[in-house]
Amino acid sequence: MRRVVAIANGKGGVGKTTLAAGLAGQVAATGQRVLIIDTDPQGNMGRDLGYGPQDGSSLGLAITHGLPLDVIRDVRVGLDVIPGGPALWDVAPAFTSRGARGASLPGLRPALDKLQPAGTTAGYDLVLIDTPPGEPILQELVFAAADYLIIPTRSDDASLDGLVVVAQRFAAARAMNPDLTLLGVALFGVRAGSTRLISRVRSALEETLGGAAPVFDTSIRYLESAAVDMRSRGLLPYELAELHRGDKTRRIKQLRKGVKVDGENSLLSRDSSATGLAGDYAGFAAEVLAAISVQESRARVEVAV
Amino acid sequence: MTSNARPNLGGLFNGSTPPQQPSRIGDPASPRLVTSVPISETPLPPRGSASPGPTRPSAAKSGSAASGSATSGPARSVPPQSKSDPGGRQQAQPEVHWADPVGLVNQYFGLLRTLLDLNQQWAVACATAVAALPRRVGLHR
Repeated sequence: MRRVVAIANGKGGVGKTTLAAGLAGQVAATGQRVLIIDTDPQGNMGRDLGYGPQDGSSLGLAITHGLPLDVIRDVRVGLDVIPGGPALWDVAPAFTSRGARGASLPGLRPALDKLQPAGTTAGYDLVLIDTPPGEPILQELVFAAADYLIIPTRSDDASLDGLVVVAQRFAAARAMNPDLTLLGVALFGVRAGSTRLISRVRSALEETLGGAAPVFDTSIRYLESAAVDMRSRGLLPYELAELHRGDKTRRIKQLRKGVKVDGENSLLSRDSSATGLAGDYAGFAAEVLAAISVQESRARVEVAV
Repeated sequence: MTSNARPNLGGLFNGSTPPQQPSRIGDPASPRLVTSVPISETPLPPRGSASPGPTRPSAAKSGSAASGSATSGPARSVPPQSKSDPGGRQQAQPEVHWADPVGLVNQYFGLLRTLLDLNQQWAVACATAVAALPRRVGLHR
C-alpha cells in the first residue's frame, strides 16, 4: 500500500523540516527504503541531511510539466531525497496562470507513482513530504498527493492558529483526495522533563482535535545546542548520539595524554541530551509506523466489508 | 496553548464540517477562473471613431494568438478582424458575464448545507431535551 505522509502546519518554525528529516533518517536506519521530498522553496532540508543547496527545479518541473523527478540517491543508507529550492516559487504562479485558461497542472501524484528505489521494482516503504507553511497552493498540491498527514506543533498559543489554517486546507484538499487521513499531531520542541506542560498542551490539543486523530505520545524535546550541532554538521539525531559516543572515547584518550580537549570544533550539545533526543525520534518513528499500520488494517477491513 | 476558547477542528479533519473556502487547486477548469465569454460570440456595435478602444495584440491578426500572448490560451477564441479595422485595432468592449451554472449549483448546495446545519442543530436540541427529561422529572440526579 502507498505510504505517503505529508508533514505540514500553517505556521512556520514549528519543526516541520527537522521532524521530517529526523523521522526519515530514523526509519531508514531500521532498514526500510525511505524517500523524503522537500517542497519548501527555502530548501532547508539540505542542511538537515547535509546534501547542500539545490534549486528544486526537478520537483518544480515535475509538478508543473509532469517531467520525471530527479532523485538524490542514498544520502543515507536506504534514504533518497528529492530536494526543494527556489525554483518552487514558480509553481503557484504557473498554477494560477494555467488555471486562468482552464488548464490544470499534473501535480505531484503522477510523478510519485512512477518512482522506485534504485535496484528494485518495489516502491518505497515510506515517502515523507515536507511542506512550506506560507505557500497554500504547494501545500494543497502535497495534500492532493498524500495518504496521511502529520502536524507538528509547539506548545504556544500561536501554534494553534497554524493548526486552524492547516485544518482548513486539509478539509479543502479532501474534496480531491478523500483518502487523506490525519495520522496525528506531534508535539515538537518542548523542554525535556516538563511533564505538567506537556500534559496540559496534550489535553488542549486533544480537545481541539475533537477525537479526529491522536496526539502522539512521544514529544520531541527542545535542545538548541543539539540543533546547532546537527545542522552545522548535517547530522541526524541518532548520528549525533553516535558521534558523541565516539567523541567521548576520543576525549578520554586525549585527557590521558594530557592534551586540551575543548577545541573550537567540539560539540556544543551534551552526550546525554543527544542520546535523549535520538530516543525521542526512535519512539516517534515507531509510533508513526504503528499508526500507519492501524490505518492500513482499518482500510483492509473496510475493503473486505 | 492555555486559552479556554479553543476551536474544535475535529469536523474539518473527519470530513463532517466543510472548509470555509474550496481548494485552490481543485476543479481547475471551473468557470470562476474565466471571467468573460469569448468576445467573438458577443459582437457589439462599433463606437464612434472619436473614442478608439485599446489596441489588441498584433499576434491575433496573424492568427497565432497562443504564441503571442501569455494570457490567451487554446480555450479562448480570438475575435475576427473586420475589414473596417485593417490596423488590427478593436473597439473597447465591456466584459459580458453569463449566468455561471457552476456558481448557481454551488449556491444551491450552500443553501442545502445551511438548511441541513439548521436541521441538525434543531435535532440535537430536541435530543438534548429528551436526554434531560429523566433528570427533570427526578428519576436521576
